[in-house]
Amino acid sequence: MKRHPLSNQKGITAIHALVIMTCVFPMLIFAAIDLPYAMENHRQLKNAVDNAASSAAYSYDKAELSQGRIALIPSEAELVANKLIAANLALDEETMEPVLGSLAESKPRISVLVANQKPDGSFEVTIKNNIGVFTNVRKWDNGAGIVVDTEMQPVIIQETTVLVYLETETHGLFMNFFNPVFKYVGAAQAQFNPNAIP
Amino acid sequence: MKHLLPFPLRNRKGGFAIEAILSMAFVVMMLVMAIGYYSYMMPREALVREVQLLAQKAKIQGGLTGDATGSILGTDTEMFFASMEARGFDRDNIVLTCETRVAKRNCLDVTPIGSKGDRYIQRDDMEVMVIRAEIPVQSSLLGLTQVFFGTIQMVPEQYLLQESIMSERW
Repeated sequence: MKRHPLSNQKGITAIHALVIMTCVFPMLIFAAIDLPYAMENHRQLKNAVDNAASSAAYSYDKAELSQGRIALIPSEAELVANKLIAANLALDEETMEPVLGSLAESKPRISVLVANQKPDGSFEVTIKNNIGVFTNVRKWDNGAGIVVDTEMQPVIIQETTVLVYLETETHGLFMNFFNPVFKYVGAAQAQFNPNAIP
Repeated sequence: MKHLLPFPLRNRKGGFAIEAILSMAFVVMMLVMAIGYYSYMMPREALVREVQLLAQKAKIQGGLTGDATGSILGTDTEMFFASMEARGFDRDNIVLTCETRVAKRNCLDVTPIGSKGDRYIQRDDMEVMVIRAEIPVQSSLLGLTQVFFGTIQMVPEQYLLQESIMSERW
């Protein structure tokens, strides 16, 4: 007599099915939850660095500005960049250590480079908190300006510019051992607006 | 008596093992949880972009034009609330604040660029402005999984979005 498979009560879970489920479920959870969370962290960190560079580029030396030259104060640019990064990443402003609820898992590495253009066209480069991420500063072969080599890619500078480097370790949501390290360079150039109405 | 149907529906010997039922329920709930979490995260990305846009406006203007309820037409806050309403969120339950981090100065209802007045956060103040939006979550799938697993709240009831910027207006 034929017995329908549905009436068979001998079913057990195959061991290989268990093993596959053990591997597949964590991967699904990682792809559905931790990966989008990491991507959102990436966007937030990139935003923080870009805002920090943009605001640091307003650290004008007013004495130089009154002479018609744009020069940034490196210490003020560093202060502004650190302030904004601390606000966006929930860090303590004094120690730059992460507080409760911070994106960062540990104290981030921040370095600020200010390149002030002199009247003769050359650049005066100052690096605050030099941690070796701005590896080399050289003349640009294709025109007037300099090239700053960073860990990621070279940055060509032709006007007064501030570069902000941020490196931070974040944490996963479900998988606590997943701690990606993000590295960014934000750049902002300061120049007079040729179209400004006096 | 012959079975009228091709397979024995009346056969009471056939059945699912209790382990199969529990494991299938667990699997289904895990899938529902993944879908529910995804449906929570997707709108959040769009909301984050909206708040980022507000932050860029506040950076240039030294604050945001309009009041906290978005009642004045053509202002930054009104456009934000209108955008939220277009996405299906209830504007009456949205809380939008913009204030400086340390001195807690209100950065809403600032003087627009080109208008007379000095009601805005100046660049020289060196203050960090914090824009904060609390928007109620619309996804209800995660409620099911919370009941099944008997856990406390897995995700907050509101999206809490925050951006920190400094004014670039002299």
